[in-house]
Parts: sequence; structure tokens; C-alpha cells
Amino acid sequence: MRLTARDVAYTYPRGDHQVLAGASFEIPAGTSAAIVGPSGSGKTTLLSLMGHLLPMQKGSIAAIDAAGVERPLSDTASWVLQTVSLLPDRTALDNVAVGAYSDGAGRAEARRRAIESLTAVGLAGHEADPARILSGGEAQRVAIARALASHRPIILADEPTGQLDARTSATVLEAMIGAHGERTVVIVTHDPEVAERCDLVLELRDGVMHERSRA
Amino acid sequence: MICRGSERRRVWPLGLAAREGVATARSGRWTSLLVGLAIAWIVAAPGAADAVAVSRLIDNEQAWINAGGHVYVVTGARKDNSENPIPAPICDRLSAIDGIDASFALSRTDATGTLSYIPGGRVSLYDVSAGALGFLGVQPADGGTVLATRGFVDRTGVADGDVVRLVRRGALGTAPDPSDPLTLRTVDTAMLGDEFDGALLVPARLTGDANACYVRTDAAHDSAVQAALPTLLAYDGAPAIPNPRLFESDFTVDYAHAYQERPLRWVWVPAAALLGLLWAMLQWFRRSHVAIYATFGMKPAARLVMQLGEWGVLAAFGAVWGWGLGVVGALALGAHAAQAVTLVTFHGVLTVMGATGVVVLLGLRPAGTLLNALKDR
Repeated sequence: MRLTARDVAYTYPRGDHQVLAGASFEIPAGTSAAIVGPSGSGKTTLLSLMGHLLPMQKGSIAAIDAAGVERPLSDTASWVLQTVSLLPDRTALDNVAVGAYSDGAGRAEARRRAIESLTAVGLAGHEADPARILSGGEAQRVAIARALASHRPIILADEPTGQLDARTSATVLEAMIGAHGERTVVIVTHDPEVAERCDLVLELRDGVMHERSRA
Repeated sequence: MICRGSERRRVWPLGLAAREGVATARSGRWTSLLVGLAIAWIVAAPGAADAVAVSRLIDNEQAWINAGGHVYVVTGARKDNSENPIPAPICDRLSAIDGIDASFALSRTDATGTLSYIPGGRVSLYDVSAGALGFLGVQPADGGTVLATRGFVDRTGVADGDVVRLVRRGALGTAPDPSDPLTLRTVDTAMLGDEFDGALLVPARLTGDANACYVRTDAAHDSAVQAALPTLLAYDGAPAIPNPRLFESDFTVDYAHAYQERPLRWVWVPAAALLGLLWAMLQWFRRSHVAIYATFGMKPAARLVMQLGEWGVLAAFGAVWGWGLGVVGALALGAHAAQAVTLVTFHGVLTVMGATGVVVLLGLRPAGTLLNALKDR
């Protein structure tokens, strides 16, 4: 699934600061892209616009499949959010299954995928743990596993490794980016090492996107 | 790893959404327990309070009926310084009319009476028609019956079932006239009036004209019966005069009206609103949960079904608990069992139905900006 953005602009309703001022970019299908930039540069806002978590004010963002047909991003992208957003009373397995349900998996299939995804992020054996007892890092990995359990063709991730140590971070990035073959992965990050692993690095400065080649 | 075919499958079918709601309720532990407890009390309290109020109303009405409520004393119209008589056979037959519970005719006699083995215990004698037995709830006995009022029993020590001979004495100088053996029945004549206390009533002697006819009806037929009595007991074309046995004024309690207009009848409305508010608060505190599901493709219809699934489990749990709590509480506070069961059920069902309406309305609201909902956690 190819992602294209044209002249995306956004100003938060309660402020006159224009966060995005005509950002444009293209992310080819099956690639991973890191969006980097200083704090407040609009990275999370851009990601939220891509995932339809915020309403578009100006410009357009489109997901286009192999046949050239535009697909709604709300139905084609799964999320790893910056704040760890889990259902605290449900088990890790139940939380991850939500990702699988998002593309129509039945209960048995969702359970199978959830176990696979938890294993991929190093949480095998934690399936029955309620989310509220998980550490910050474990909870973040559950959130990543949830996105992996979904077979939606796009993953949008906001600082997915922010609470992880270097070794765990490498494991989950491998699960998310290393096997992206057929998925388009977009990661907002401050971490140069994470950006380093992506096929494409997009830098937001002054509300405008600057593409730069990997170091 | 991508399942191409999955794109054609329905995302979040309603059955799955409902199961997710049920699972949320079951895994909610303390939250679910506290919400269930709140539902239980909110379901229990209105019904219990209303059951106690209605039971008191019923008790008061029963006391009023026992004292003569819904009883009419019908006398003949005045004519030439005297009263027309009441035809006793007609009075007796009034109980066959729909809406008239019982009736009997009564005449005060000039005679006094006593029981043969109680010297000097002469009391007033009233002749009554056969309908008096039914009116006063007395089983007739073979060989005849004499009715002893409470005051007579207290004064003479006779007991229900005693076989006695009634000695009737007329005007001064007439010889005593002992009857055949009669079975004595004790009766409570409070419904008829204080003037009978201490007297003896002799059934079946009255077959002709009487001084008065006592008619007992009920709340539903009271007005109609009062309107019909003058014609039913007319004498020579002159309508009879029905008087309520108990004095009535603007301050007399209209129990039927008091029941219909009691404020607690509608107490389920604020109870349902309170439950709805409780649910709204719960949804506000857990708005990130809805946002998570919405972010992972759950549409508003499925979200509503999920919330109804959770609500259904909590409401059922709380309502059953609350029903038991309400019935036991109402009984403990003195409500009648029938009122406790009926009114706790009535208020419980309406409270839960009303609150379910609020839950549906809240569920139909848009989820808002998902990003804010997720960041506001």
C-alpha cells in the first residue's frame, strides 16, 4: 500500500500556530519510513492525520493499493500509539486480539495471531497477564503486538520504542520493520537508531517535509 | 503474513462486539462490582420505598374499612314526622348486585334480652335479617344463632360457640320469652357503629319492614352504589336516604386517589436518570477504551452493541441483586409481601429500562476526537 501526502496543513483549533504548513511526501508500498524532527514539529499530528485520528483541514493523504485504487486509511492502518493505550482489565492476549479483530479475524484466528505476535515481541508466556500488571515496556510491546496481529497493510507507530531498552527495542523493530515485506510501516521517532533501520527518513522542519537519504 | 482475503470479511461483527462487551464486564473486577452494587441499590431503593408507602396506605385504608368505610346506612325518607320503613327482603337481596359486597336490614326492638344463665344481664336487642351473618363474617349454626357484640362478651364472659337460650322481655309486665337453644357467635360491630357495642343481634327474625339497611361496597363501586341505593330501597315511590357510615369531608382521605397520585409512583424516573448518569461517568473515565476500539476499526453500531453487552451483564447482575435487596428491605420495613414483590419488580424493571435508554443514547453519541480520548487517559 503506497502512501502519498499533498500539501497537508494543520492548525490546532485552540491556537494560531500552524503545525503543518503544506507537507508533501510519498512512501512506496512495502517500505518503512521514519518521520523525524524536533519536538513540536508536528510529527505526531501528521501521523494522526494519516490514521484519521484527527480530521484533515487542508491537503490530502491517500493510501493507494497495487491496483491504483485509493483506500480509506482508517480501514487500512493499524496503530502503535505514543501513550500506551491498552484495556487495563483485559489480558495481554485479549488486547492483542483487538488488532486481529480489526481486519475481520474470527476468535480462533485472532487468538492464534495474538500468540504469534506476543511471541514475536518477546512476551511469550504473558498471554494471561492482565494489562494493568505489565511494566511500561511490556505494555508497549503488547501495543506493538496488537498492531502486528492486525494484517492491515499499513502500520503507523508513534515512538514505539520510547520505553524499551536497546536489546528489546531491537527485537520489536525486527518484528515490525524486519518483516515488513508486504507492509508499509511509518514510524515517528526521535531515536536515530530506529530511523537508521528504516528504508526512508522524512524530516519535518517548520511544518514542511524534507526527505533525506539514510545515513 | 498479510491475509489478503481478510479484507472482504466483516470487521467487528455485532456478535463479536457483544462478546467483547460481556468480556469487559466480566474482567472489570472492582469496577464491575462497584457498578453492580450501585445498580443494585438504585434498583432496590425506589421499589422498597414505594412498597412501604403503599403498604401503609393499604393498612390505613383497611383500618378505615374496618371502622365502616364504604358502608352506607340507608334509612327511609321522612314523612309526617316519621321515617318510611326499609323493606328488609329487598335490603337482603342487594348483595346479589354487582358492586355490593354484603347487606342486611336492622331494626331496634323495644324488647331487652339476656341469656338464660346470666341473671340481670339485660341488654338491647336488635333484630337483623339473614344477610347480617355474611356481612359480619359469621358461619350460621344449625338450630339458630345469636350474635354477641364485643362489649357483651367482655362483660359476661360468654364464648363463641356457646349454646344458649335467649330470654326476650317486652314492655314492663310481660312475661319472659325464652328461645330454643341457639349457638352464640361473637362479632365485631365496629363497622356498624359504637351504638351496637354491648347489644345482642338476632338474625333471621327480621323479614318485613326494618329501620335501616346496612350496605357494604368497595372503592371501585362506591359512587355508583350510593347513587343507586335511593331507588333500590324506595318505599312507596319515596327514595331512601343513604348516609356514609363514616363522616366524610374534604379532609377525608381518598385512598384510591392517594394511591394513584403518590409521588413515589414515579421514583423510577430519577432512579433511571441516576443510573444513566453513573454510566455516563463510567464511559467518560473509560473514553480511551472506546477510542482504542474505534482506532482498531470498530464502527458506531458495533460500539453501541459492545456497550450494551457490558451494560446488559452489569444491569442483570445488579438488578437481580437489587431485587432481592429491595424485597428483603421492604419486608424488613414493614411492607406487605405482595406489595414488596410487585413494586420492587415494577420499579426495578422500569429503572433498568429507562437507564438502558440512556445507555443507548450515550452510545449513539460520536466518540469525539480519538486522539484526544487516547491522550486524555
